Amino acid sequence: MSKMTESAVPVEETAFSDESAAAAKPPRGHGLNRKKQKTIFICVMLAFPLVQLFIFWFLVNVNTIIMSFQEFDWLTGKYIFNGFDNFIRVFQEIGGTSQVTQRTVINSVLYLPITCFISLPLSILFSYFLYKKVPGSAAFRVIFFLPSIIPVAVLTMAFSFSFDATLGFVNPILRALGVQNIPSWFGQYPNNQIMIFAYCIWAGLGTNIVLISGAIGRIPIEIMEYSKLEGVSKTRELFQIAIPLVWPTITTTFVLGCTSVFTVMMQPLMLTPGNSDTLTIALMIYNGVLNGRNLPYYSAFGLALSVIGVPIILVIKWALGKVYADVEY
Amino acid sequence: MEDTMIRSDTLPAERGEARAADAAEARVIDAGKLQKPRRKLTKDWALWVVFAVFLIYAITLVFPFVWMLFNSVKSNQEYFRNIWAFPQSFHIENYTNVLFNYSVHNVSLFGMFGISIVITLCGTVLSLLMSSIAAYVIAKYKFFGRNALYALAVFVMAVPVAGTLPAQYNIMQTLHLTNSFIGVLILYAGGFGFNFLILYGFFKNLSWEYAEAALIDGCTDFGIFFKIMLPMAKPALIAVGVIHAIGLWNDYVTPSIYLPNTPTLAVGVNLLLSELRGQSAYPEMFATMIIALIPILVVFICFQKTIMENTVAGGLKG
Repeated sequence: MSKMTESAVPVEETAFSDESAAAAKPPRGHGLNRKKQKTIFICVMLAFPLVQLFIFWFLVNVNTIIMSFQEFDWLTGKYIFNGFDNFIRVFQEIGGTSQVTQRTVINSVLYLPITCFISLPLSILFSYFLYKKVPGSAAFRVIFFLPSIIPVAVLTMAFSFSFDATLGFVNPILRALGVQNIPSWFGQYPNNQIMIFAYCIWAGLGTNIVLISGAIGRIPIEIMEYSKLEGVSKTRELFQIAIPLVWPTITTTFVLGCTSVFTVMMQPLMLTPGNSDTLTIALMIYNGVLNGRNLPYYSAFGLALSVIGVPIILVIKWALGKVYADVEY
Repeated sequence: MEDTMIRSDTLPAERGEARAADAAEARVIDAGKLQKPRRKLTKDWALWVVFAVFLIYAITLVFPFVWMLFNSVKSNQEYFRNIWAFPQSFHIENYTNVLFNYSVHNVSLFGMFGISIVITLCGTVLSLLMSSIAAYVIAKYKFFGRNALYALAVFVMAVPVAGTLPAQYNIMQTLHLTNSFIGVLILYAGGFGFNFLILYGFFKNLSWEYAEAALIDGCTDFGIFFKIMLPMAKPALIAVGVIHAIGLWNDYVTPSIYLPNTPTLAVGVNLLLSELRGQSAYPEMFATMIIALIPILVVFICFQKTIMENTVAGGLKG
């Protein structure tokens, strides 16, 4: 890797070598030699980005670990070490001492199959047909893209208000179609949780379709033309040509779906505000921070789940990368 | 459909131009021609089913907003009377009311626009500047730890850690950066995110000859970066910047935690919508949603191609 990098930049290396600098006119204004100038430039330019990275990535992560072994001491107003107490509490709560925590973890884990095994396969299928030039595909692409840029507060309100029991437009349409016993959409658990999943599929499908159909669109047209001449069926073309060739995009989308277990929070926050049945891991931590409540406990909560979850996600990523050989085209 | 038919008809000719078709290939093409009527029918049928599904999905995405647009200019009574009827009179004051007369933490919707514009502009400029500085220096200068920094940037992107928010808040408190614009901007000014990787790729491929010429003319390294390299990166910076700006404009978590008393549009609209829904002021609620939609739609219309093409590339590279 490093050899490649070296050979990829021969131009600037010669430009910076002392001989070429000496051959050139000496830089105007100051008597510093080329090497010193370079060093000053690198230090000045990288100072802020590196300090920012050090504080808000390195120190934040280190602080997460430190805080997870602490508790707030009300007598002294300081954080003091309390060993593994936070972690013990986290696992006890997940084990059943707190129904809210247990349900929070279950809700979060369920986002994985929803995004990876429902939303993603649907997106791949839709993308393939969008690529196959369904009438109006250009307009569909633009419309499908909209959910990913509309402010989430607006999109969630549009969704939840459409299902409003008295003033929304979904129930009247369903009644007109003869549907009896319309459920209370955002009423009780698990209805509200199912509605959040439905929202995620509805809003997420569009973005995935645009990403994947874009990737299919970059497959050289000759490959598809050739397969057509060879009489390859549509199903075979999708599974044996299109999917293997856009596999990196599918892998990325799948891995993002896996990380949603730890990141989803806006949807339940806005669709079911204040509801403790539909919490997710990220939302629980966010609420804790917003209310300034027991920060060490939430550090331990996030850390414990990351320690279990992140290796699994990385293994999935590695395994998916092995399925098809990476093809340059 | 038309397009597909024309393409398959012209295929043999195209292939003939490209290279001489041998007998076996000709047979395959003939076979394809013979089968065409039957295949066309099934293809037609499948494509129209997919078209119908797409159309229904597209309608579900667009219809709520069209419905809200119509209802946003009704009076409250008119809306309650019939949620389907066309508005009989246009109550444009619904829009001016929510823009100026309602407020969250003493900030009107109009004020939230101002806050969001300032934060988005400053945040985007800072973030782009820091990412391009980091990307440029690491791509073009040889120094100790350069490869390690690049590897670190990839690592930071690849490993998600949940639950760093409490520790981040704790550090921000220690640095007295909570409740502060500066604090939010410093958080936004990271130089090693996704933008870094895109811009690193860009600078890596940029020819160094311009810099060489400038060095001979006595230009400093700073001059080369700000006067030559950064302007050349303009197209890449615009593409990355527009997408980044949309992200900042819509960001909820950071401003809701670190600017609790000065709501940005993304945060304030959520609070305002809940308030209006609680007061049963539905037409005004719809007006708020339409207003919140307008800036993002304008940006999308102006930069549609840039946004869509680069989001696609981002998806592939990420």
